[in-house]
Amino acid sequence: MKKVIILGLIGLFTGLVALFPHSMLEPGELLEAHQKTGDDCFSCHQPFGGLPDHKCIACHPLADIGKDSLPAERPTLFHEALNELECVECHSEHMGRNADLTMGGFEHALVPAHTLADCNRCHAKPPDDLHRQVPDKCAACHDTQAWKPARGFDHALLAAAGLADCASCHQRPNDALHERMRGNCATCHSTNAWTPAAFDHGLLSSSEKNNCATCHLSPSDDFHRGNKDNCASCHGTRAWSPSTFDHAKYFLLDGDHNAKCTTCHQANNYSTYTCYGCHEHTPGNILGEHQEEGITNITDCVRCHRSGDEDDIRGGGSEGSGSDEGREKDGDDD
Amino acid sequence: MKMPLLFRHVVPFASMYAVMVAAAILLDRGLHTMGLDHVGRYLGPVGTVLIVLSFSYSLRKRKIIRTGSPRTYLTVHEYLAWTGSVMILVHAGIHFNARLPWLATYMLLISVASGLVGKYLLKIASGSLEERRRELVASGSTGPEVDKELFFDSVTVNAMKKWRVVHLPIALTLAILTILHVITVLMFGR
Repeated sequence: MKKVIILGLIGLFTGLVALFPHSMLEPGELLEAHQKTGDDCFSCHQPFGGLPDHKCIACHPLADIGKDSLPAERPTLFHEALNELECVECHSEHMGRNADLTMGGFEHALVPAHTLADCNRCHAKPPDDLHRQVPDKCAACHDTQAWKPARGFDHALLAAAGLADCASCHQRPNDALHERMRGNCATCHSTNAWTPAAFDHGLLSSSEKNNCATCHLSPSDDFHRGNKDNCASCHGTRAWSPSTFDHAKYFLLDGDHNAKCTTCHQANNYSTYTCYGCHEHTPGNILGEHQEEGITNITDCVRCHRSGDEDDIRGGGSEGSGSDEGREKDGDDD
Repeated sequence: MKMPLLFRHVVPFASMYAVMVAAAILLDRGLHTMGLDHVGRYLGPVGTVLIVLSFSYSLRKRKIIRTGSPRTYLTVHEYLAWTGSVMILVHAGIHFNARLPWLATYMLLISVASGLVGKYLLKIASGSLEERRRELVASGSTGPEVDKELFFDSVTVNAMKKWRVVHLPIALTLAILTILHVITVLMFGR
């Protein structure tokens, strides 16, 4: 019984392969031109012998390959020089009825040196402005791996007129800054790279110069959100950092006052501040101390105090007797 | 009440099977990502050799090989067949081309499933069923009560037994399809 099952299964599958060889074995449809070989797999395949070249050459003489498909005026027939190689190293089949089998695995190294030196025998020179200006030495910019990127490109290859007219190859950036620029691109950019650009703010009109946000995005941090108006009060046009912002101009951050911004500027609001965020200063005792001097406005402390030194009183206080104005470190007000 | 056999053994078995398929898919994706997809071509013969070696268990069971513990041979059979199957699944890839290799791949998947059921799960499931039967008898249940309580588990075990019966013909069919695939590749390949 077992033998019957075994023989039956062998017979079944062998029969299926013999009766339906294409659907059982064919990995894909043949190219349309090869369909005329019909069901005869062995017109190309040699049993247990791979795909010998002589079967291909029987239909495709090496001297004729490319005559119909390459440019008629200068066909590059290099297959005759490839006697050492197997056809299947570059070409494969069963890739579909309309597959392109001619370029599979093409290597420029296979092409004889004298042909390789003349790229235009196979490749047409692009008919654009750039390529009209440069000589026919394709290899000066391009290699045989890929057309792009053209690593060897040098602007020195261009004629003077072409070099001066950047827009003949490059597109002007579609942004607010470049829309206003009417000068030569070379004023800011070099031929080595687009960035960094040596942009000079002196090119801008005074109204444009005062409106930084036209070109620059305002930083989104809490500090800058509260200070949008005059960038130039802290930043120069040479570089964003270091900025010239000096907190000591308003209040010296030394000693115990070297604290986090939000200790004084609460809720990230840099347009206001308070000195009552720590236990040292409470409205009650500050008011008590200042009433003696006739001062009742105790909210804007830096109007008089510009540092943590309680004797360093140099602000323009105008309330009360005003006797404190100009008093600096005389040490007798306690 | 204890969980039914279906959840105690069949679900874990399905997970183990899924891990095999997932391992094959991940390995295949990894090879493609690294540009090493051509390695899949060579995993076919290697996987086949592993599976052929795993048949040493059948030779031991039939006493053609007389040395070594059958249990060890079974363990080796399971590991080699599982690993070889992953390699062959990667070798097959997701290429819907000729039908013969795909029939062989489907048969491989069915063969692994039937092997897992027949040799791994059935043993555990039968043991569990008997253990529960002993527990129920010890707790004073009568014969009909025990049969009623274990009806669903008995049905599961019987279904598994039928899978075991078809494991060998499936493996045989896989062998025939594999041999035909190898012969035709040698006949028509480069």
